[in-house]
Amino acid sequence: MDDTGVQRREIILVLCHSFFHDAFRLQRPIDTMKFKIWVSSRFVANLIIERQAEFPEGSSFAITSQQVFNDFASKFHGEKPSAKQKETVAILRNSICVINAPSVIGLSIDDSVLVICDTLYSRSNYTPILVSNIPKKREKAEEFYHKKDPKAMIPYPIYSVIEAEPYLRGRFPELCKLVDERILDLSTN
Amino acid sequence: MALDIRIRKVKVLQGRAKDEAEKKQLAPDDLVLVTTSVNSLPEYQVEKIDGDPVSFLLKRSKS
Repeated sequence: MDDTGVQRREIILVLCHSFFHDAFRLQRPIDTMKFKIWVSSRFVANLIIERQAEFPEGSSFAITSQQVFNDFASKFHGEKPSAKQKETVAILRNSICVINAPSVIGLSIDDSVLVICDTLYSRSNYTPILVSNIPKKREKAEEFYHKKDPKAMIPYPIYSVIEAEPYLRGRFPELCKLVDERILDLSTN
Repeated sequence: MALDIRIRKVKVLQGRAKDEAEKKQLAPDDLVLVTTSVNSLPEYQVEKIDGDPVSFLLKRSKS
């Protein structure tokens, strides 16, 4: 809480399916733009795991819907996952809050994350940031809000990973330095 | 036997999980994979993560 008695809102990253697919892509992309997205997605995924690793259990730095996570998991390990692949997905799931509430579970993968963002914005002390690598995500969000009210504004930021990375570097400089060191450590060993 | 596996930082571990990390002489900022197996009293297995966690997970999924 600050001096005026207003509680400071913590940021929480709301992850779209495109983020997972780019961050956990097995092959390094050749295309320049795809490579930049891959590097930033990897960085943001590492930061999420790093920050979550020191959070109290029950608190979350990143969140997504069950359908987004399941979509990623099924594409990541295919129809017949090995025990190690299943375990990898379970470890990742423990670093991210996955919502399977009845109000979200029947929605499309696009609408589910928008509902999560709006709910977090409206009834918690979190500031959601929607992270998506789909260029049309903002238009989809506008359509979603305009269904109810043509004048409605999207009340939270929508960032691509390339936009999210510098924002997060400014917000968590020490933690980002640690993430960089771990990435460098691996590439030099 | 119930099993839970998650990534934690050494400096937040307590009790017997912390003892396991200390036996391995890990640093407070090291990331570890903590495997908790629950039979009656939980048991904690601590494995150091080398490099960045995403690369660690991808490598592990292929092993």
